[in-house]
Amino acid sequence: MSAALLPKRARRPIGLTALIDVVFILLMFFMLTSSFSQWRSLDLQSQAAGKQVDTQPQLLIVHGEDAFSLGALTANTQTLESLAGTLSRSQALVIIPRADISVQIIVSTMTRLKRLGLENISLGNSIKVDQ
Amino acid sequence: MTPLIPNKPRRSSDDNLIPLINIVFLLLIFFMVAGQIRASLPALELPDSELGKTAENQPLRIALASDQQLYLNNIPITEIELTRRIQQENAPIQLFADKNLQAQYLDDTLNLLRRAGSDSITLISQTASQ
Repeated sequence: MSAALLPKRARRPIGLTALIDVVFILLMFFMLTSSFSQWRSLDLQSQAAGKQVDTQPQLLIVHGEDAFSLGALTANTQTLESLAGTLSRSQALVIIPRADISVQIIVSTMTRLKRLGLENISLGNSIKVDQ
Repeated sequence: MTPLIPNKPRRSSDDNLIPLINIVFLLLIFFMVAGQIRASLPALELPDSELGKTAENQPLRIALASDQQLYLNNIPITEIELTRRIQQENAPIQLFADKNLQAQYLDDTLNLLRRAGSDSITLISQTASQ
């Protein structure tokens, strides 16, 4: 095809207005889709895949935000800090929440136990308490 | 005699757009680098925590809303259907539970997942990055 058949076009540079249109659309896309909070994962060790353990696990019963008891379902509860001395780091620990405890309290309990240096933590079934 | 100051190029009307486009480019680069795009979730509030490994998207994302509705990868699903899907795929599970959900309802879901034979369940919480 000879060049003469093509219409003669004036050579014009692309305007900045078109560029900024596209950049604005990209900016809107990234502003609306990006999120700044990060997901953290906590392992819930499965009871089905339970390994053979020699020792009895410690049972930590969660009564409330800062009310715990170890082993038995008693009325007098303690804070986690006062229980920290009696928790053994080598033994497995099972968290038993009361049935009306929220997920947030379970997660913060696991976080606090990890901070105290306990590693072998799992989540057991909840218990119903009649009152 | 040649002039000492060279002739300025012809000003075009686009010239006053350049500061604007600079700012917009900076904003664009900030959001591209700092933000992260990821799978959306059904309407639920994740529990807050500062500890734990940073989580990536996994193929099996199970969400449990505060009204006990189960979602698999953002689609509402029944317990029977969920059991079937887990037995088919046999992959690690990420569990997104609403922070106000009670432990007894979390139990039901965990027992369901364990009965379905999954042996890697992680509970997802979130942290606001600084």
